[in-house]
Amino acid sequence: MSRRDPNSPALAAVEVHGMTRSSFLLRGALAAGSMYGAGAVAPWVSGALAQTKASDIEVLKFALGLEQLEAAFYAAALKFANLAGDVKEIATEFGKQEQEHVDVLREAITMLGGKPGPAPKAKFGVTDQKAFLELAAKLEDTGVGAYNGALPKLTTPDLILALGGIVQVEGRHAAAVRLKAGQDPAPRAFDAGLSPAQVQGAIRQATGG
Amino acid sequence: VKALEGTIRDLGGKPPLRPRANFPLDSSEVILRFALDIEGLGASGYLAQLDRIADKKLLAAILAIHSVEARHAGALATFLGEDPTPGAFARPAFASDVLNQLHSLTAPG
Repeated sequence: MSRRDPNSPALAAVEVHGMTRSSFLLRGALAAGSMYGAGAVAPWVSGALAQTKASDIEVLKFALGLEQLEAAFYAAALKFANLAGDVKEIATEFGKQEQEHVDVLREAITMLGGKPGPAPKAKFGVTDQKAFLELAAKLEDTGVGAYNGALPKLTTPDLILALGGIVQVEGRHAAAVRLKAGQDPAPRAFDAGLSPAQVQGAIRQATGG
Repeated sequence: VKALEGTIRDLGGKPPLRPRANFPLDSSEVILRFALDIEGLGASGYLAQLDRIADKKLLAAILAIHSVEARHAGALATFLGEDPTPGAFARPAFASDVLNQLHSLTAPG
């Protein structure tokens, strides 16, 4: 898998303008978080998000639970699912990215005065590549629906943009694992939002827990 | 496209004319790469608008489209053996830049 910006090489040079100072700072924070680890994020996000409401923190905690589950899933799959070749490469990359989402969300929740929840307990039972891809597709699809359902509840525009940048990556993950599983990468023209109860139900069903 | 045109009308607006464009499609790889550029641009363009939408129903509709654009871009990159993600966090692209990029990709030759 070669490194190429899927946003197109031309886009890399696109000027970012017309945005608020705080969204610029938050963007910088997220970029720093992904490059240097979540600890590098602290000085920026606290200023950018000083006005955040309690309900927004609940949305972040909901997103964190989901990302923790996904990160644990990829870690378990890399240990137990006998992955090889490009599927192993995908699991490694996507697992690392889910962990970056976990780190940045934990950091943001803490700085906003919330308390990040513990990782949800789950057993995945994936022992081969086929089972891995099928469960990965279900979890990533659920992640897309969860973010799409949760984002309209946010009141802080900068958080909408930041979580939008995460859900786009969840959508790309979903498409890639579906394709590898022999499934339609985009089965519907619209990814409807899911309620937290629907998300929990989908996860329970997918993990048999 | 139909959903967006309907939503614009529902909100009392007039949808713009559909653009004319030349698509440089002379081999399957060129087609896939062109599609990847367009879908990536679409995803980044939707992303850039998310924090500007006050109407929550409209935001939900745009989100439902945004992640499908993301799926298309991710699938095309996977087909081409490339990284399906731009890293852990996708970046937005603003409207004027998206239009400029689209214009340079589809300029009548």
